[in-house]
Amino acid sequence: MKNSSPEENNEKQLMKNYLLGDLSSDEQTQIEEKYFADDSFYQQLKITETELIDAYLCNELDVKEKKKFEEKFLSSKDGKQKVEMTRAFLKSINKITGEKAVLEIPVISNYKRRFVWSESKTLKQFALAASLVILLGGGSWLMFQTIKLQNQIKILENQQSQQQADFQKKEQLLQQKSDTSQKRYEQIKQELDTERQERTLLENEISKLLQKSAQVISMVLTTGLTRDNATTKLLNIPPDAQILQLKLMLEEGVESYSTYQVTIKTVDGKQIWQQKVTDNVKKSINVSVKTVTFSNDDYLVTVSGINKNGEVFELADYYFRVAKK
Amino acid sequence: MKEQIVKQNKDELQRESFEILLKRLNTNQRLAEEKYLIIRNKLTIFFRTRGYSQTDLELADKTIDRAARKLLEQDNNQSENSETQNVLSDSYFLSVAHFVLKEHQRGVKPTVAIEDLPIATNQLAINNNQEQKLIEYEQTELTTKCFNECLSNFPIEQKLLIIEYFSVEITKAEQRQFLADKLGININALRVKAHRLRQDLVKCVENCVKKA
Repeated sequence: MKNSSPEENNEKQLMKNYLLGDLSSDEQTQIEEKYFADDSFYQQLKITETELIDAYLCNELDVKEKKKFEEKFLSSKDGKQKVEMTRAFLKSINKITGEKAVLEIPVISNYKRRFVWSESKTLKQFALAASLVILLGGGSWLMFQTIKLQNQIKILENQQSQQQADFQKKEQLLQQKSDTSQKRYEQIKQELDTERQERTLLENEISKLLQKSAQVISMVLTTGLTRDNATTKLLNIPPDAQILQLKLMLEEGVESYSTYQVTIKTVDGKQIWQQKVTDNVKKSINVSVKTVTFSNDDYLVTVSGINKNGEVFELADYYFRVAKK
Repeated sequence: MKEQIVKQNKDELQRESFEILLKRLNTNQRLAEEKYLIIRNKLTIFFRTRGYSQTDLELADKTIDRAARKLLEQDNNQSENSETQNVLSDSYFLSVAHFVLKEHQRGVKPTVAIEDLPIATNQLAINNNQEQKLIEYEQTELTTKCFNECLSNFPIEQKLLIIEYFSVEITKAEQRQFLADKLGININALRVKAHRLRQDLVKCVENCVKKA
């Protein structure tokens, strides 16, 4: 009674692991070199392969082994062929022995279904017909959906273009309004500017007038007055007065000249102002003198006539006193 | 037209190179063909366990074609009076297989697209493809008939051995041990013997189905 040795068992296990892809790369290389070089080792490997297939078909592999087996063998043409050949062999043996199938070929997951499937013509035809129906149905439904969507798109596009047209109209209206407003604005602005200018002119005139009224004082002087406190005419010059208009009354019978000369001196004899007058003088001579010329003091105004030869003849003297406020 | 010529040239090249390959495997045609099938099977196992299950056969054939073309080049470079070359070892194909594997992993396009290479270029290979057709006869009467016929051709002891060894029983290990003890041989030796008989039986069934 000779059992297999542990070495033989180890070798068998190693080969099984190799066929299931459970070895490292180095271990794989060792096995490969061996079975390519050594025919007896190759024979052992072949037997192990057959036994592995037997075990799979008799449901003797554990879950992990079964999964690896299916990955390796059932995705390979050669592998599948070997499995089917083995199945045929075992089934034939089964028939002879009359044993029930324990050899009920386990469903080779999806692979078996696929294999059986591929062999049934009727099933294929039915599947093809069913697929066509589904495809047609699906296609029609898709087409319907597409048309529906296309219509919706058209409606939306129309709405969009309508909205765009409305928007453009509104924009134009706004633009027109804006233009009108702009014109009106320009017009108003122009009117405003004109009014401002006129106002400015008026204001200037008013101010001039005001200036004139506020800034001129006048005095009438007659001859015969002497310079003394009792009879000297007092002139109060307000601060805002700028011009002193003197009206110098001439006595009757005074010779008339074509040109007169008016001189203003202080009582010290200092001349502070002089002007020639060529107006047609009859009874009085009017002169305008700036008030800044005067300070608080007494003043003498002399009127002289100038003949054609340029000779000057004094005609009258006038006295007044200035008091500035 | 051009494509046809190219394909024709390719086919001729592959036929020529394949014939050289067979000669290098064995001077005997029949043994060379058997050797070829063994090498092909080894290569298939190699590519499958390396994770290329889906293309194991194509890669195996590609390896053989590549090896054959190399041999043809060598042959063309040899002078006419040179001695006969040594028989090719299987390990040579393993080295070519490693190269093909690396190429495949890198995703490098081969000089000749693998789609352009026929799976087989000779009658043997064509016959191999016919094996696939056996799958279609799995549960048919023909298979059963052939199986019975072939089994009947075996001597009674071998017939019993096959049936007893491979029948599905719960205590398979015990039964096999019992058999081994009965025959006075090591369980491993029994194993080898049983599987050899099985291979012969399967071959017989294949041939029987083919003939039918």
